[in-house]
Amino acid sequence: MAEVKAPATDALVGTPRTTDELRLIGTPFRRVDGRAKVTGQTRFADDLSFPRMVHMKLVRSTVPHGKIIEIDTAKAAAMPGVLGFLTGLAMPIPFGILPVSQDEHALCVSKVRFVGDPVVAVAALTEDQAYEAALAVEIEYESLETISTVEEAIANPEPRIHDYGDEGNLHKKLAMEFGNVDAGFAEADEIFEDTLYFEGNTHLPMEQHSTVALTEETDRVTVYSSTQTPHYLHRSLAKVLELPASRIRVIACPNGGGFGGKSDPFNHEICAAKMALTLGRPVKITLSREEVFYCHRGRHPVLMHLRTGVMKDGRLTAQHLRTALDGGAYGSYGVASTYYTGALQTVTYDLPNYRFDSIRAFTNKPPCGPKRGHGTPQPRFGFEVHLDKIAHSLGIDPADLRLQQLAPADSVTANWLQIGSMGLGKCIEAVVEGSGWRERHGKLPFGRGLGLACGSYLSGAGLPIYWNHMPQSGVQLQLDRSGGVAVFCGETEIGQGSDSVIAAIVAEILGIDLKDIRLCVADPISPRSTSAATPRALR
Amino acid sequence: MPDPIATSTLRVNGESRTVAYPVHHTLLEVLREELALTGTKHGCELGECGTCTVLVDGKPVLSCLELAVECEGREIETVEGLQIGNELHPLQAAFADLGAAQCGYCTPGILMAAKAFLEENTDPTRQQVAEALGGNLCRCTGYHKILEAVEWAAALLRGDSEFRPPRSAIYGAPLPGEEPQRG
Repeated sequence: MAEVKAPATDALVGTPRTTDELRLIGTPFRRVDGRAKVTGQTRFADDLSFPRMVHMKLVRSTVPHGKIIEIDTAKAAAMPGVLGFLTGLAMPIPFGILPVSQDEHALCVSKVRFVGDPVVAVAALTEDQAYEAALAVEIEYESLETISTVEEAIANPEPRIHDYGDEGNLHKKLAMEFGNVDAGFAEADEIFEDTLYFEGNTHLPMEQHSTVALTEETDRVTVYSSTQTPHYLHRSLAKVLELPASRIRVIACPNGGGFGGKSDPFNHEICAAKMALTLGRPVKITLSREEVFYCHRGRHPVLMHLRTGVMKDGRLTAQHLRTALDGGAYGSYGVASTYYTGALQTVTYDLPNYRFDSIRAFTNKPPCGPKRGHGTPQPRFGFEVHLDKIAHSLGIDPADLRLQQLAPADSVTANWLQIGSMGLGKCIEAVVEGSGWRERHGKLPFGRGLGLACGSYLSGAGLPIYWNHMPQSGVQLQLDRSGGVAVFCGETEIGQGSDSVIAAIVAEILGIDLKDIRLCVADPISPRSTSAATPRALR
Repeated sequence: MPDPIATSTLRVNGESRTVAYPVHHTLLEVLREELALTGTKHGCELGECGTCTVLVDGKPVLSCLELAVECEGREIETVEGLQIGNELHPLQAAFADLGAAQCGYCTPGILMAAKAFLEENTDPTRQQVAEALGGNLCRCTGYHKILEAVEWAAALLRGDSEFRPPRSAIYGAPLPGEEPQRG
């Protein structure tokens, strides 16, 4: 296959305009979706309804780890309004967000891996009937030993939660070194060590996940869903349903918050599509708040150990960071999260020599995944606490310790990350000034304190999940006879304002009014976007 | 056995609507499913998050915990009734202009809670607004923009022409009588 070459960058960008030449960008305007959102007109997935629509519920595992011995739907099938069931046998092909972790099934096929893992889907005329029928489905399990922590995963390579991964119940192991860490430690006046733990947490978007699937023909299906990543859902649907991608349409409804929690393709989305194709009727599933916690994909709990070489004046000479991630029952974005716990440790302060080891364990709990900043806030918390302790020990003001060794602008870090501008110094100075730091730090009464911590994140997605040479995102414009412009874009509005930004850019460049633009977003018939990796669309 | 069905005539946004629904259904379910008023959202259906707030006889009520059968003959107000003709209520305009509605999912509940509050207190302090909205969760804004929007709406409602939201709060349309300023 011929290689597809990306167009030259300058051909895409054109001549940049200066701020003075811009008409709309940089000037406040009401969000293009503002009125709909304050009048209740925004149509979230659960607000949709179609003729003959039926409702689906999932029967979820009640054991944390076990083999499925028998599923009995006879009693449930006799209940009023019940239309049909699906089990894992109907969709045996695995899926997952990352090519290296295709470890999920739309419904568990032979074993369950956490309390909440879906086993049976049931459809009925009303939501109440589906709920009652789901309660009547009987599933017999043979329980397996529960692996509930990273420590247990290390100690018990068997029984394996998955039949893949780097070792036993360790999903991922990695070790990296940049610079000469041993020489850095040898040079140091003092070496500091700390062990810290970051408890996991979840996104808690106010909107519970919801999906509506409807068929057009026997083998064409449209899926409306509260998803941040319609293109990856599209890919998973095509794979599991064994349909050509051109016969599947995924429309991401405006999300009632996502924060990363709607970035994976989900089992309920695939089940809804399969059930719609089976029954030939629109199928809706809206998760309860309890089920949202089962979907999870929240921030990984991380146990971390930092060892840092420091000169008497506070200068860092080397760091060895070790992280252990509690990944829960599935891969999700976990391999990426694992790298993320180490990748950005070098970006704030000049750290010439850096070693990073990490493991991600499978445990019998709801799967962890991407949440705002992915795997970076956990080691950030660790590093900043560690730095404060170093500053205290050396008798250096914690603000000064940071200010004196900022990573320089226009530099490359030890682990080959490019730093453009560096505004952190001015930021710290402003905080020191504005907070009365010099007068108050360490001098407040018992129980009161003033602290300072810094963080950084990368801007712009480095790579799409499936590497290719095509542009990562784009828009198509369609000019109609009325003078209006339709904008087709794959970006998903999740509250970050992407609709407004896209409309403003188009209006700015074409010299037209915002009100003459119609948006057709978050639909794979539009050009793809890497995903609403939350506010990234705006950068 | 099929669910017993209730029939009620509900007063919603000043209009009488007769509906039949399973007797155990909540006001939230009847508003969304029987009346197709999907502007009222659900966040937990356990009375924790405030997302489903509507007004019943002028008071904020969690519609997920209120049975529809108990609302017969009472005045129910939802976000769909907030607009005045084709114009936004000052609360709606302030929320749209100050970026207080991001994903917009918690917004209807917060607007209704704020409406009831501003009818009792026309010139509230920041602390009073925060307490009035203490039962409503928002995950996008960090609340500051919501508090600023309620204060701005309060000023618009009481005709206070002196009050100005902080310059940093302006995301939307320029203030009356002012040219838009570049950010």
